[in-house]
Amino acid sequence: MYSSGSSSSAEGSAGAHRRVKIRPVRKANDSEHDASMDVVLRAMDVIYRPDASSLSFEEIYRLRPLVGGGAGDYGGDQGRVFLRAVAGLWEHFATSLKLMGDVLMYMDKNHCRRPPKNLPSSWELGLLVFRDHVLRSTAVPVRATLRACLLDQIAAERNGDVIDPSLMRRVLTMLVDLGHSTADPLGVKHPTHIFGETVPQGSVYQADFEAAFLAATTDFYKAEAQRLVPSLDVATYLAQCETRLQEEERRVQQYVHVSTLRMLLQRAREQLLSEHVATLLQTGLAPLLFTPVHDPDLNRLFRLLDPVPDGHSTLLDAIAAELAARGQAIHALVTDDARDPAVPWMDAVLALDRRVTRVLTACFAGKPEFEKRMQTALAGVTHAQPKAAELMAQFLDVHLRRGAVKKGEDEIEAVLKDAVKVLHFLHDKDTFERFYNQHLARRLLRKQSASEELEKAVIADLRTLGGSQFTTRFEKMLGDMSVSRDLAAQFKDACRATEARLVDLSVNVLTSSLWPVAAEGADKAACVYPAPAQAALTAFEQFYAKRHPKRVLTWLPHLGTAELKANFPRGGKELSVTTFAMVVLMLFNDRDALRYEDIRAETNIPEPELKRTLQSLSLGKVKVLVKSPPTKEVAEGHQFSYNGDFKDAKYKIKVSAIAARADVDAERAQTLQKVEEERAQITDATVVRIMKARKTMAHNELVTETVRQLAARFMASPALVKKRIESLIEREFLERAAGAHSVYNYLA
Amino acid sequence: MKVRVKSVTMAAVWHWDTAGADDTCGFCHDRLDAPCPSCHHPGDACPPTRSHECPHLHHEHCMAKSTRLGNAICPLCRKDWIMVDGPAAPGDDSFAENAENQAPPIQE
Repeated sequence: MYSSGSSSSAEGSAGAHRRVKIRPVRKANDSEHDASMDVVLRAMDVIYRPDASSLSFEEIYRLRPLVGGGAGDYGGDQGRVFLRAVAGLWEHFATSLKLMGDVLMYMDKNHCRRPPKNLPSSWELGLLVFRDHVLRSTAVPVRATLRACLLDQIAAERNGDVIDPSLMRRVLTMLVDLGHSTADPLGVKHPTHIFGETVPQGSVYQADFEAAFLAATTDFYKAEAQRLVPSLDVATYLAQCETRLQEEERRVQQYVHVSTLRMLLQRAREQLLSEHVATLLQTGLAPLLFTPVHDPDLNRLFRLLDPVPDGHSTLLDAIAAELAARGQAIHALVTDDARDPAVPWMDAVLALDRRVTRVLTACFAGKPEFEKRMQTALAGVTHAQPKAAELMAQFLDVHLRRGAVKKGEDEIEAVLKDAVKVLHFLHDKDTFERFYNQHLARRLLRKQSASEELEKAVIADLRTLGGSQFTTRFEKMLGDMSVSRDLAAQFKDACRATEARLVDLSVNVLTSSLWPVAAEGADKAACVYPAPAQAALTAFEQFYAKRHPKRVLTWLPHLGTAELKANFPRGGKELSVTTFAMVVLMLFNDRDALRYEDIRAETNIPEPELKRTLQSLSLGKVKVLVKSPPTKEVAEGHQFSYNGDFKDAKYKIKVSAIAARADVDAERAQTLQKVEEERAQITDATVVRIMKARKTMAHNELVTETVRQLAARFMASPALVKKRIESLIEREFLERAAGAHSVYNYLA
Repeated sequence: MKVRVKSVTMAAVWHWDTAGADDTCGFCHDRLDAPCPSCHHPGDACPPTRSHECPHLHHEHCMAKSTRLGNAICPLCRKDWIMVDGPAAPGDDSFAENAENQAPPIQE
């Protein structure tokens, strides 16, 4: 048991009844001091000895090759035996040291860690002893062996072997508990070189394990990446990276100290990802980006690159490049001689848009930078195509026309909704508006609409594009059609009431400012109608005048159609023709043959229309008339005669108007020109409006503001604005300021 | 050839009956068939108006605006503007709004 170092004067309870006398503590003298110290030291020995037998001598003997500095199985069982030995030794030492602390408690509490000498406590001293004489023993290479064992065990685990995590934890905890690597509170010389290595600064854990561990990690993953990147496909490689990173996190949970986590993951990511990002993205991004089945892989790429420095920005750059490449492929669909490129082009754009939307939500968690960049890339695809507005209008037209596209109505509705979404990217919204207007007019007047519901739905969607200003015009067009239907019914009732036997007539009454086709109608109005048709037209004029006394009607025969009943020798037929065709054919009721100039004189149809009509009647698939000479051109002297031999399998036959390529192009050119004219006007109005408010403004500022205000309709070029400003100056709406050269004043 | 017309579908455009006068409004310089600057849609809601004093025609709203500012004169000839008003003047070119003859309102 313990004997105390100072004598006490307590006289035990044996003489309980004797008077207790307390005498002062006897001052220790030197010889007594030495004797007391002996007792203490002998006691320490005893403390340390009891557990010495926990280490089997045989095991320790077997460790000799290992510790002898030779080859040994650091990573295998032998390594574990060594680690176990070290851990056991430490734990025993630590326990004993605590016991010592209890013995020396008085000293620790009252003499240690107090100024001026600030002596270390027994615990601290004990740690130093262990550190310098066991761990960093100069006699036996414990430090090196320990490090080798730890690292090789970890390497084995990384290669798939099973090791002993709790053992690793005991050893690493020991290193952590040993405190600072170079602490030297007593000025005792501690070893700075052990077996050829310098002992670094920092904590023991860092110096004797962590630094080497991180270096080994770097090497390991560098080698792994170099091995796997060329041999695996990107998706598999990414999965492997994720597995490895998760493994390292688990390692920290199990035995590596938590302070190492950040740097560990950083090194791993550096080697596995940062070094190879360029290669990975170059070959692997495209399949991930464009194949839905790879969505989880793309998501993994996104997550893995997040903590990597510049990871996401590199990824974004690569994505933008891929989208641009796709955009180019899409652009190539529209060549000058491609027939009807609208649908394939738009389908491709929509597919890309759909893919981008999906990828943003499924893989990129809707991150704003990604959304912005990818949308910009998408918009770029639209901007690259100068005919984008037209193509989109054509696409819509094809889908709204009856029977043009073989899709179910729900599918068409969905496609149209997507299409309108993409319309937002358009710069030239006014061009689109004009073409859409034209197509809508054509569909309505020729009754080609697939369904009025669909038209209304599209117009409602378009409202988000340009506001109600954009769409009320179209709604009014639909309104005109519906009003006309009502009028037609009332007209029919009125006719029945008067018992006039008239040709069945339905009229679409159009409000001139809404319908583009009506604007060019004036010069085609003066056609001579056959009597029965004329009677009906006159009756309608009178009917309409009664309802709207302030209004007058102008007929547009180039937009009309007629149904005729024709009796050919080989069978009666019902012909569906244009108004002009009707006028021409009726002439042949009392004559068998007519010359071109005669027809022209009798019908008053304008030449280009007349020629086209005659061509469609005599040179198309349905030859109701015979032309001689049978050339394509129609000129003076050519003769047309009734085709007595006409036959056709069908009863109801449609003689469609031939739309010559030249005409279509001419119409298109005209439309584009109108767009330019309208732009000039609107630009003028905008400039004047701005100047009226500001009275005076510098050139650049005026241009910028004008462009900004016009952006909702179209992207105005500064050159255009400049030109309009010049024109306005000429017309004295503005003037150049006297002193400053590029400043303008508003002229009231 | 024996051809008989069974049915005809025609398109027609309506204009205000300007009886040959110029069809542009003197105030806003838009066509009379188009709406005045404050209206969005043409039609019976935005008609032209005529005066007893001169043959010119302008948007009713444009003239009303000018009248409110104190100038009830024709911008082209500067004669006083006495609006042709009231029901059924003799002859067809009165611009009276005869309630019975109004077309049904355009469906929204």
